[in-house]
Amino acid sequence: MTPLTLFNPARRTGVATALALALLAQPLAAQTLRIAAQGDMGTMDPHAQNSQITNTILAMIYEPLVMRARDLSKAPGLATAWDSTGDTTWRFTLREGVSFQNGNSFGPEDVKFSIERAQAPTSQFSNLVGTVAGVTIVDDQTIDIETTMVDPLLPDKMSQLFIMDSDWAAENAVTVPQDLKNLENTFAVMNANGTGPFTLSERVPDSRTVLTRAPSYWGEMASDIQEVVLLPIGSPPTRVSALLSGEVDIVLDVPPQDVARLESAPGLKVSQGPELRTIFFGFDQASDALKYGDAGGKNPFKDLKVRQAVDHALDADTIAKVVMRGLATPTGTYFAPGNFGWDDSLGQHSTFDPELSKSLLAEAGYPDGFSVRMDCPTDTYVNPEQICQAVSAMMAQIGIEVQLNLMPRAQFIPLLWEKDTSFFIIGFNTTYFDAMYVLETLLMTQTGQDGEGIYNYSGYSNPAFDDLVRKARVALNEDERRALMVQAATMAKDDVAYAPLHTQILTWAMKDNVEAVVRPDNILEIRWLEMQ
Amino acid sequence: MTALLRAPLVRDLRGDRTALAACAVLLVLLVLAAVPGMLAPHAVFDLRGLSLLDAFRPPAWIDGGSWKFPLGTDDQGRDMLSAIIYGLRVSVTVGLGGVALAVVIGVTVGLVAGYAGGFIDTLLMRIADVQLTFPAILIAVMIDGVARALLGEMARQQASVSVLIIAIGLSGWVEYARAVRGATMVERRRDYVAAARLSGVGAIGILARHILPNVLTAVLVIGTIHLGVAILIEATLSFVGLGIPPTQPSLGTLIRVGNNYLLSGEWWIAIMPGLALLILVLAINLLGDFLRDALNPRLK
Repeated sequence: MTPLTLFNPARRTGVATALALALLAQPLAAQTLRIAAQGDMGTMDPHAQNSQITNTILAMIYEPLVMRARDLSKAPGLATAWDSTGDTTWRFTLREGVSFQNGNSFGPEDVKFSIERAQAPTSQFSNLVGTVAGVTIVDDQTIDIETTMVDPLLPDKMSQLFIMDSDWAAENAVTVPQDLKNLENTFAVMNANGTGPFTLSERVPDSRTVLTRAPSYWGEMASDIQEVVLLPIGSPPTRVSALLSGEVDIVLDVPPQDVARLESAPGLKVSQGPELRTIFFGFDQASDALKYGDAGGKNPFKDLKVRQAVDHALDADTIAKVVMRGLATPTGTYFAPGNFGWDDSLGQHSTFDPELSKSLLAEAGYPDGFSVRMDCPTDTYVNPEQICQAVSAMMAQIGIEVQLNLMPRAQFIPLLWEKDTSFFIIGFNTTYFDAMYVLETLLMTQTGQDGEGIYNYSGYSNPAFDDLVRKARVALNEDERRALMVQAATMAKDDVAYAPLHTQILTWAMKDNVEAVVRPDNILEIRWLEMQ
Repeated sequence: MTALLRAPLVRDLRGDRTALAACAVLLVLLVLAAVPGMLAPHAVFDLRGLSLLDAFRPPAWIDGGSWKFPLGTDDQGRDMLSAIIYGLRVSVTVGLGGVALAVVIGVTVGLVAGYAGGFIDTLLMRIADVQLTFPAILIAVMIDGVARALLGEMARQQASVSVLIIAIGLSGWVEYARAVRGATMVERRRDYVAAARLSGVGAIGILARHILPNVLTAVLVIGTIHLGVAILIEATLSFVGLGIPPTQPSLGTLIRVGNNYLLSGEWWIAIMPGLALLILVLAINLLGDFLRDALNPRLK
């Protein structure tokens, strides 16, 4: 072909038309939602790690029996109906026509398997199934859950329990949850198979996790999002810059100091709401001598007066104002106002009175104070480093010399599990909007039964408190239950089981074309998210 | 040798105004770094003196600032000027320590390689070549990682100054080794070395007493520039989070903490330590430039 033939007008038009058609035939770029959060998931195993970001992302792949409606009341999930058919029996009717992402169909044996799996010693969700005595398969659509005691909260607890495919688990030898404490590696750590709208397509720990839309999803989605990418970005200014530069579409952990800047940035918006997360400080109350510190061979935190001294030395108002820029509400207890069991009397933080603290310490036998190591994570909760530094200064002012030990979350959480700490900060989120979760898991004596005290990292143990909680959890009358819970919470507050600080206010920032519902449990519900 | 340093060098210094200014600034900074307790207006690391209500105050000349905190305060209420003075001490300590270690290793290797020649020389210089392929920061990060693994997090934080000195020393000795090797190879052929050997002085004696003094000018020039580099390496590592922890911060750590607030309006928490670092390294570099020209026999 000579160059002249190439410039033939007919051929030119033909080429141009072909190009135009080719361009038009390109599909519109698939919608991708890129999420930036301060930390990464620790595993893809749905029962191995009860942590915020892990649950948020896994909820896109796996689903529970009971889900939440937009007003946070319980709504049908993998179960379409449930009822208590006896004092200790709950009957669940299961949804038909649901399949797992690998093609297997969802059935009652999967529910039975998942509940029993969550009861294993390596499960971090054992509180949810702590009262379950057994699961009976009645027929293809019905199961009965038998409980060891009257449990009015069982459906609420089922809203957090992810259902796995029993066949897939057996094929891949993951019938038992990963032992996260001992860093066990199983197939479920990097692979997932759920009933939800997204499947796992790529997982690079601490770098990116990519989920792709599963076309066979049974439920409704508010958007056409085809891909979700989780980008853990630990450094707060980098996270914010990523949103400002357009690299991500939504940031879940917005540092308070950047809220003003994001609000005034064009093309972005900031959504806030009260969070169900409370921040407080814990002490080792079980050991006879301080593990990490020097108090003359004794453990000062065993003495109520010392705990009260710490409590009165915490200036929660100033921390909320200066460190949190107003995005926190000082509180006097260990759960947030949005939970059932709240009473306004619990919201009062003790008076800030360092002089009183000093005299309490002297009365307890520590006139010159003592020294102790404080363990503090750098990449979970809001501004933890700054809070811990401020509290170290406040402790110094009453004579307690604090050695601040900062570490990433991956090292901090195991420290708590092993109770290998003397003084620590901790944040707690109630998974099913009921303070019973806190009373049972954080404050009850750790008996190892019925999920009691599984998160009791301080060793607080008060038999009178335990009795109150045991009575409350089987009370069917809501008023009676509430009164008992408030009584128990007040008892723990008076005991200074932990030194409370504040409840966080949740801030998410996102591009203007993203509409996300800020849930007080900080879970990004992908089914409700709209993206233009 | 001290006579050499005294007369012509000082005369040159007095003639060069830039270098004189740099020298003066450096002296001030070194004095501040040496006795921070005497000169800093606040004892910033005494937690009892801190008040959170003092946090985020701007520098004195801006609305909302006060002369009690001339350069403003950080997120915990610490006075920036005092924090910078204490930070200078940490930065300079790590810098000087790292350079000293690098000098000791580099000079020893250079003397041995240059004097022995042959296989030992080849071996040492190949090791040096391999080391040069790694960027200094990378070597420092690797050494920090090893320390973290060996000591555990808490102990490593307490020993952070020592770990950084070792990291900087081990990553920076090659320049000295090369320069000293070259100078040694020139000197060993000189008559006075032959004379010393004939009169029975051993190799170490020759190296220490005869050759070493003659190669020190090269070391001095390299060392001055390297000090600036060492301080910057420390600042980089601290900024990234691998250096000095915030309880006894260096200038790099202060900048890292301030970075969180740089674009939220409280710019001074990062910019002030940044300026201090800039002035310190600039003074060192200017002085180093001057020394290199003044001590270069070929420019005379």
